[in-house]
Amino acid sequence: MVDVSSEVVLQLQSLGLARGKKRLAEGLNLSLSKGERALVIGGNGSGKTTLSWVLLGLLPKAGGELTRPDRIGFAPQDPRFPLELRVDAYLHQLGTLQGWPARQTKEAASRTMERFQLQALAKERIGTLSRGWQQRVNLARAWLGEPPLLLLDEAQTALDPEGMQSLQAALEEADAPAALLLAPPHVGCESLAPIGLTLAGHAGLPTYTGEPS
Amino acid sequence: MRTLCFAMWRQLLGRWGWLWWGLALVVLLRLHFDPTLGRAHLGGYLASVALGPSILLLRLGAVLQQRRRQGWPLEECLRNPSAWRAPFAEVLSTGGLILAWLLLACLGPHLPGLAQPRAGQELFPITVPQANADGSWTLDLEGRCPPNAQVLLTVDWLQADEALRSAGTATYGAADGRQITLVAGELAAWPLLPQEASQGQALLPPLPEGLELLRPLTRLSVDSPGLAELPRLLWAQALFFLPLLGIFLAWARAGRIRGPLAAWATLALAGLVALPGGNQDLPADALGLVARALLGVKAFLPGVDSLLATGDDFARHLQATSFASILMWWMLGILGFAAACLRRPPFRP
Repeated sequence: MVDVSSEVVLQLQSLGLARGKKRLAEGLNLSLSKGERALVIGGNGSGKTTLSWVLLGLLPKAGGELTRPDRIGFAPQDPRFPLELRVDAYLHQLGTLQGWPARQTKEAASRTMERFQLQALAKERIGTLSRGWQQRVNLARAWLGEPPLLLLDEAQTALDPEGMQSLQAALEEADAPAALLLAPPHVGCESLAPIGLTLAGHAGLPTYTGEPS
Repeated sequence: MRTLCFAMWRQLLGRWGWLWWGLALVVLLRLHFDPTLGRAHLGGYLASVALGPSILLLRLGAVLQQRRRQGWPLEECLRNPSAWRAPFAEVLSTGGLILAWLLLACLGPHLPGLAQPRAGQELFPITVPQANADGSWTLDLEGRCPPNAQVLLTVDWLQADEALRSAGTATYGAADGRQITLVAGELAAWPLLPQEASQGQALLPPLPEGLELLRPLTRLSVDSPGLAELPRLLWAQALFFLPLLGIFLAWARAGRIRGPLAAWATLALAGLVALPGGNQDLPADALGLVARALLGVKAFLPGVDSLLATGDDFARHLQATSFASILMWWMLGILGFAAACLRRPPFRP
């Protein structure tokens, strides 16, 4: 019998990051299994967003090995939304874009809205929501359909304590996917996940690496 | 897919958009087929109807740009790695709206109380040069003509000999077997060979001895279709406009050009394709050079201009478009769509 919890979802082996000709980081090592989570800490310009683009397959890696799942739920740092759409309609569209049948889409949207207490605002237009609630929509769309890996770039942004609790609860669910959180230092994300990587940024390549506990 | 198409429709039309389109159709119908004010000419109506798909294409460009700002490209990249669903929904929804518009435009003129366009013949002046050495005339028809086009000749009988004048008829024929009877006081209809119509050049044989051609009164006569032909003409417009969606998506998505700019570029290409190609002499000035360059580019594009025959002289541009040309035009559209479906990051790496 295969132990599902030990499935490696994300593996970085001596991964290098570059943006154009500029090398941002080298020798990144990290391994995440299902249900595990880790925090990537780095200052401004240290390559957190570049790391997320590389993990999503949108930028090529600059050396090393990368193993990642096909489907990754991503909450970007600067979320953009169709502000004229209602929250539920937006999540339905995302599910359809993924190719799910209508029923599955509806169920997935309902679950993810429940997770972030968005049911009461399901019929509200996204543009009328506050920044904090928009961030919850951002997180909800990353969780939509429970992808095997979540990539949350500065997920704590604009969240009130209640929102932070929702996020923490979602991350600590029994069948939660693996999650990699990216955040600048000293913003209180250490409570959400143990530090897995520290990107040194301009000050000095390469980076410090650690194993998630 | 239905959800994505409905979402696109909502964005393309806006909340009250369908009302504006309905109103536009009513105005068009009154403008063209009002029993008192309308000209009841299909060419003008077709030109107005062709504005619909053009406006929808521009609207699609604006919507695509709006969706870029809303972060859709990233979501498409993450959720649909084969990247075909969003472009497919765009083609399906805009194509559906174009077809719906053309269908309404087809049904509209049948409403009671509107004047009906008449089928019949339309005449277009043509310039007849001086006769050749053997008495024949080489006619420049200023572009291709429908295969059933005829040249109407006005013949002066005053200089004919007494016998011919008293007979009042004469046989007029060419070496290829075409033959008509000239009757004094009547216009003579000289049929064109299919290749003459398609090449836009014809050879008039010499008139019988003593008869004189009144060159300024020579006309090209073509059959003008009536209302019964409207479905076919609008179907031709659909065949013309639908591949433009693929070409537009190739520019906007694969070429990463801004949506509105890509839409204008696509319409410019459509205008070039729809440019009626003539073999008339172009002036050597700057404008002539531009026209020559445009016609040179057009030569590389499929000859589907008669699918979009519109305007006062639309009847003379109604040639049968070859299946090969239509196929090539659609292949361009399909290739454009395929290029638009290639997965690419939402930013330049």
